[in-house]
Amino acid sequence: MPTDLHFSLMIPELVVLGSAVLVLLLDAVLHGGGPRPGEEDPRDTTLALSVVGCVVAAAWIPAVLWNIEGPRSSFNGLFVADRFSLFFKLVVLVGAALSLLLSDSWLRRRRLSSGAAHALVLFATSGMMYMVSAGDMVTLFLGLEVMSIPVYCLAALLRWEDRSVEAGVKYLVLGAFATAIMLFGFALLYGYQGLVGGVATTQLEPLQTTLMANAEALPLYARAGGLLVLIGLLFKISAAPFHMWTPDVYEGAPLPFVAFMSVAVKATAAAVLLRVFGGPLLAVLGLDGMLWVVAAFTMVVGNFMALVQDNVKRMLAYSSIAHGGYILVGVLAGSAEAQAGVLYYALAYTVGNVAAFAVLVYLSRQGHEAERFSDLQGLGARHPLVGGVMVLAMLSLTGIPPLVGFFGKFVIFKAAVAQGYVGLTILALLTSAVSFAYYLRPVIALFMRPTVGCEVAVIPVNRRVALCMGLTSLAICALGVFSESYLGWLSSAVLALAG
Amino acid sequence: MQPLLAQTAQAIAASAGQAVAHGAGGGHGAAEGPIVAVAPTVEATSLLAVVILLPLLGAALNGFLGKRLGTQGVNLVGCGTVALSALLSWKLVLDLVQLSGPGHAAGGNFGLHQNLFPWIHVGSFQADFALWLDPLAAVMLLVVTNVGFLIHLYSIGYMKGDPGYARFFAYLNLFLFSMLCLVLGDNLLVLFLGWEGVGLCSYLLIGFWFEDRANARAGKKAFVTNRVGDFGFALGMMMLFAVFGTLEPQAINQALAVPQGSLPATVPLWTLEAAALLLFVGACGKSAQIPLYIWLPDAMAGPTPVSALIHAATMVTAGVYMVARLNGVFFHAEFACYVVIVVGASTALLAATIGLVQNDIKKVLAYSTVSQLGFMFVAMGAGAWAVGVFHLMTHAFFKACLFLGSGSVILAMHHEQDMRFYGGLKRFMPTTHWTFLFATLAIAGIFPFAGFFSKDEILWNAIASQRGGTLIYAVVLLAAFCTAFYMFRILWMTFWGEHRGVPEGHGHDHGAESADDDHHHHAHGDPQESPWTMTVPLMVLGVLSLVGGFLGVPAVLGGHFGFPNLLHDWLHPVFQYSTVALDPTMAHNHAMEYGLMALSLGVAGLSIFLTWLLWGGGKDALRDIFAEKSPWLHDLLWNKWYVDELYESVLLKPLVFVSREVLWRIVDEVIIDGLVNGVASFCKQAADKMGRAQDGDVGNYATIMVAGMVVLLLVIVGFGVGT
Repeated sequence: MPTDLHFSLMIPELVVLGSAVLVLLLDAVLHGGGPRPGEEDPRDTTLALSVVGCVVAAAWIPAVLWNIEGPRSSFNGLFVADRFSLFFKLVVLVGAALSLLLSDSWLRRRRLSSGAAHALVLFATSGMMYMVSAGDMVTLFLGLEVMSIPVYCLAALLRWEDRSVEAGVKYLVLGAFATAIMLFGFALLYGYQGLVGGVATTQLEPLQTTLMANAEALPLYARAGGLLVLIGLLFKISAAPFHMWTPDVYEGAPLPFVAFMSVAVKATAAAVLLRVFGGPLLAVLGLDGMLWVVAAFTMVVGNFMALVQDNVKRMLAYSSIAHGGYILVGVLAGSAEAQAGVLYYALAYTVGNVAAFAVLVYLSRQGHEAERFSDLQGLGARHPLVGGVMVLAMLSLTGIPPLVGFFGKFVIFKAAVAQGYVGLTILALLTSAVSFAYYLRPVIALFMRPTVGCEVAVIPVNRRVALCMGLTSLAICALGVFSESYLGWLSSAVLALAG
Repeated sequence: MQPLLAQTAQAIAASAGQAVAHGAGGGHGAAEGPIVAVAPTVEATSLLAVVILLPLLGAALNGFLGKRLGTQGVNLVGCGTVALSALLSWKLVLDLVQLSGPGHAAGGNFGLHQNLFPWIHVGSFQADFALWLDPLAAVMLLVVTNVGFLIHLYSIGYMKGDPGYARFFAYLNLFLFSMLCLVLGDNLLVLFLGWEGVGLCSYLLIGFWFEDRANARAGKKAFVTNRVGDFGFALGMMMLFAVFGTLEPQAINQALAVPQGSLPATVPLWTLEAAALLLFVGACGKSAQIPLYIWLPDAMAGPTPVSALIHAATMVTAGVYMVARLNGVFFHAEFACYVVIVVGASTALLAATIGLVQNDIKKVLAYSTVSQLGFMFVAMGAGAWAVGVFHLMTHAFFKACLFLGSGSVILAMHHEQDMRFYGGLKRFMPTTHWTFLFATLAIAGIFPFAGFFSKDEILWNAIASQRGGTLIYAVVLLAAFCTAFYMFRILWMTFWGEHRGVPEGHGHDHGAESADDDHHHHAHGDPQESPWTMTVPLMVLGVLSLVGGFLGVPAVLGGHFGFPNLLHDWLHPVFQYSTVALDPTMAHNHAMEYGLMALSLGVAGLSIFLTWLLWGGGKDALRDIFAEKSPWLHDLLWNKWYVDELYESVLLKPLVFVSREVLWRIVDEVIIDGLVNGVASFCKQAADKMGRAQDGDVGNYATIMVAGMVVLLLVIVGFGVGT
């Protein structure tokens, strides 16, 4: 039955999957199944392979796929490679590549095998890429699972540490729960499409058309189906009250992979939210008021809870919840401008957050995760550049011009006001002001507190971590300064969504 | 460099001939009949960005990798980028000269334009990061890059062995980048970016030897004083945007290209007056005019090349440049121009009188700079834009030369800056002496040195312009008298007469640069001439002080020999719609102009003669008479008219009192702190309440999820019932 098999559209996914498999094989060949204690493992090969895989896949997108002529969907609409999905694939790949760079030194210091971890990151990445390209509920669900299961494993990577296992199990149990809810929603929508739309199909586009056509008389079960799907996605983006897992998982999971899941999973969830509920559909389903409440609640909970954390990872976890709230504001506003803002925000949040985690990774040592504010003390004096990266990251996440984080918020808020969400925007601004308080805490610890413990002073900066810091800092500044050009580019990506 | 200059001069002359043929006749042609504003001729280029980015690259390299580059590497990066930038700016200006040929037939302004990237587009506010090089910017560009390069070269010798060598060049390059943004910015926002950038670099470089608290304090004073000015500038910018809906000077000038008094209805005169006054507040800060000039003398705490580049040749003239850039606004804002001319003349005289009695060689030069900037603002206030820019240029030559010369002396004297310990240095440092002499003759306004032409035109416009007057002229003439006096006083005390030398056991504690002394070996003995990296810039600037004035020979002198006023004709397209007419009784009174010229020469000569009497004639006793007969006058000048003290008691003390007793004790501690702490504790308590749910139990988490889901479902059901 499939008449359109355009595998060329899928090349980035295939590259990532291929390198994942290769990494697993190589790891088995090179290490014989695991690291030997007290011996340096040749991890460079797997790292290089994974990063190159991501970079090649990422480079392929602007080089070839962005301006490709001809059809952009394949396999009877199961797989869509429009500019919208391509952009999010870029974001996911950037997040993955940077996290891989970060993970290297972290894994080395713990004498852990890296092959499995790298392969897990790559598998999860491919899942995310399929998710953002999904034109069909089945692809969406498959992508979701391909993404989620490796991420659960990454959370539990330190299997001899209680906290890590706890994080993995919690994520798995609650994640499964959310997936079940979402699946139920799919089932309801599929049934509706079959009954009302005439053709029983799992594809998104006909479903959306049917829903829009019957906007006046939607049965309760169709709207409930929409709601359940939405809840599943809200769980992934960690919106309140479906956010409870986030702080515990972030606290227990290994640092570099927290960076990965915080940025990539969130970007993917935002993409799917826009793909499924973008435009007027949200209002048609009667879910806009509900999303208003969820967004408001998320921003309040995220920002307020972040205030009282003593653990930097937990603080960043709540901050990521808060950022999820800002993204929801953009999704809710729904105009083309707001959607471009969400895209902008996804990358802004990615570079800011990865930069912050890079500094934490730099500070971690064997048997000691740098996660308390006191671990940062005095760093600014010893390593002003590293301290500077942290400051940039924090200021960008707070939203200080001319950094990228400011324009992300600015574009979304502007669009929200234009769509009449004035109250929600005011709330967003107020909670943003609250975020100042906790984002400045690391800065204070860095530059205005005396050093505690002198052994920290001798850490040399790992080259790969330094590269990661450099790239993210550059992006934080450059994307902010050149925001106009960049936004213009994003508008074309959003256009794909509408058309 | 010399042949290049001549070449350009010819090219400019060629284009100027055309300008005269097609334009409104050049010269001081009054606006006759309705003006039809011709839109500027614009040509795109991609090299302007390179000109500004080269110094930025240098700053980044030296700033981040300075320690690894080594001294030679730092030199190469620091000076090389600026040299390339300077060469490129010559190429661009030659391109501009080409453009002035055929394209200029239209008679409007012309320039090269580059749009780097769209910067801020918010609603109706559109600001691109764009650069614009027209004849006015070209003059500034050449001055900034070329004088900048000479001073970079000079710094190699001056800063030798300093532990912050790479940092110094990084700051200097960063300054040049900011200054070029200021000069080339196509809208006021880019200009403002540069404006703030040069302020920052000025702060960093004044406090370069920050280990000494006095230096750090001087940097702070400069920064804070400038902030007052910047506030005015920002408000002025907003005002202009509110009226014109754009921040592009080209567009604003174009909109104002109408005869005085016939403004369009959309532009009320009072908004222009207010904007001009606010902008002038900004200019007062940056260009050290009354009442904000107090930071500049203290800024001499920075290394001497900094004083030459930033606090004499380039940055402090930014205010003058900005007024010239927005000539349309100031053309219509007649009242603001009166303020400008009065402030300029007062500053010129006040600073010159203070300079008469100072003993620190750099302090004298600093007050001299303040005074000369006053001269430039007199020209601006009189509406003689081109004349102000002309003096800006010649001043850059001779004042940079003077500062670099003083730096050479200071280095030779082991960072002793008190002229009472100098004397007779001509013997030891001939090159420094001769170049210093040239520059002194230039600033004193002796024919045919550069300052003669530019200052004389200012004096002429001060009396002949409709916006000038006899009183202004008298004040400026008196300032010119003082100028020649304090400059020759430096020459007598430093280079001529007997060498006095620093007495044994005399500490260096009063030298502002004493912090640096530890790093220099004290090979006491006869002062030595400086190395070539320092003397070559001196010689180039000395020659420019001699010949620079020929770019702007006034019509009464050159006209008979067919020698055009090159600079005036070159700038004519920029200023053509803002020409302020001369007083009709003066306009064609050549006898008057010759007479005044002779008068100012005579005044300068008299002044020089007096210094000879006091210092050269061996009559030391004469000097004391002044101090004895009128001690109050001496004290008044010595204490700089007590302005610092006046500010302290009139502004600072009440301000501190109100700040501490009202703003801090009541507003801050009670109201604001109460609010802030209240909000904070509210947030904390709320978070603690919410946090209780976060107990780590997966079962509870799942329950909360389900509860949330059920509530949301119920809401939907509720809606369902409702519909």
